Amino acid sequence: MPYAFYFDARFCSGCKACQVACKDRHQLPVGILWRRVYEITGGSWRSQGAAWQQDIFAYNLSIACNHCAEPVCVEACPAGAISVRPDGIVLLDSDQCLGCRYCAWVCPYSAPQFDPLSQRMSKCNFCAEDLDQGRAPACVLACPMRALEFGDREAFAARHPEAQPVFPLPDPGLTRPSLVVTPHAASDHANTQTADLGNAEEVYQP
Amino acid sequence: MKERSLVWFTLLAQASVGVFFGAVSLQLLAALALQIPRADRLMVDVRSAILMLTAFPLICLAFLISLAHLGAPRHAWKAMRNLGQSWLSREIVFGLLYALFLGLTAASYLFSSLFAATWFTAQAGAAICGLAFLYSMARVYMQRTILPWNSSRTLWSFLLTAASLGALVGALVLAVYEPEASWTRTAGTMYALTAALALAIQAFLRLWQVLRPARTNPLQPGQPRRQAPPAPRIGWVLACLLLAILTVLLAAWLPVLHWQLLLASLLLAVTAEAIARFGFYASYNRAGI
Repeated sequence: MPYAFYFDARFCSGCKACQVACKDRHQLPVGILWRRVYEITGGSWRSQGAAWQQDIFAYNLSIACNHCAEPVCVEACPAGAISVRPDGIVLLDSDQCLGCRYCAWVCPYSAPQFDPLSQRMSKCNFCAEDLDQGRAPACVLACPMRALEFGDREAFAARHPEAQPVFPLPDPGLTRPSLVVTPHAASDHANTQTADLGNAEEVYQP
Repeated sequence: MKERSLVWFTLLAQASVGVFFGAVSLQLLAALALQIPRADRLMVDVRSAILMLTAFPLICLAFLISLAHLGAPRHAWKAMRNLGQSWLSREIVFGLLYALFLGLTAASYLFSSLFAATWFTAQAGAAICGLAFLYSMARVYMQRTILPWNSSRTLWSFLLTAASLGALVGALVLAVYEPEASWTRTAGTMYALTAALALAIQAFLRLWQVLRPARTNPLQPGQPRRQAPPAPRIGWVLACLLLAILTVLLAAWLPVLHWQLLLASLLLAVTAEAIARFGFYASYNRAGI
């Protein structure tokens, strides 16, 4: 069964409990975020005669590694430090990593993160060791809004026909991510002209 | 992105391959076209040896500098473990093989009594591995998630850098040693014209990059794309390339090869390539978030 994440953007409040739970579970150092909550904002105020109208919108996306079906990081890594389990989980072995950061260059989801202390890369591993013992990933357990789920990729796609690519996630055809997203209504208004990332300094490594 | 070490790695490696092919082409020219007097054949070997002995330290320096961009340089040997999928692994393997064969070739010139039998095999190996090295180097950057880099312009740019720098170094070496000998003059002119052509094509590619910039961030159907930002300092690149072309054409036109003009052209070309290469890395724009 290929594992996937399901994310319902309609219910995500941006509380970042998933982000914090992940950091806590894996004892991640400062600056490393295996799961990141992106705040997409846009719109503005416009005057119309004596009145003001606004079309301001905002929504959140909780994104970790999407354990893609065609992982570009696996193809890129020269050390063979990234591998794919039979259940679709993409694992990065930091001990084999050179720290060349080539995987970070190519990943369209900023999943591999560089640790300046160890000079190696690391990324979300779907809490594989917990999954193997029948427990859910830390981020899924932590979400108070039940916006995050995990399970079979095909089952999610069948159960959520409303799911579709959401701005600013890239064309899923690039790497076929194991991620099913039910979009927030506001994402209909979002594109490169109308929306921007509101917390770039929080989610991107310097 | 720690691009400074990668800029110099790519430039030095491409210059090394270009200089190597400059030496090989001199031998081919001497054998097939130049009607060099038998007494002068040794001078061809000396020029080839000088070019080989220039190319070898360039590639060694390139690999040393490349270690600076690794987080764990002591594990650099592991970079060769994913030949099946990773163009970066292939680049490293072909680069090391090229350096090995080039070293054997250079050694065969220095210690002919020991390495004479390996001279041809080493040169053939270096030629094949050098081309594979350049191709792999370009493919490292031609990834489907990095749209500004994912075009044939990247490959052509790398090949033209090798051709222009190699031809300029070849012409310079010929100009330093007996520039008035007729065969030296002919070969030097051919190198200079090759360098001018390669630099002119580079200038065209840079101009094309400004007039038809790559699209960034392929988004979902229906979403508008963005144009890549203009390459930084493209004016400086074009100016240096134009001056390099003018000086090398002047050197080719004059009755005697002047090493000063060729050296000026080489320095201008290296400056242009360095600025353009920094601009290449600055144009990095990955799809997605």
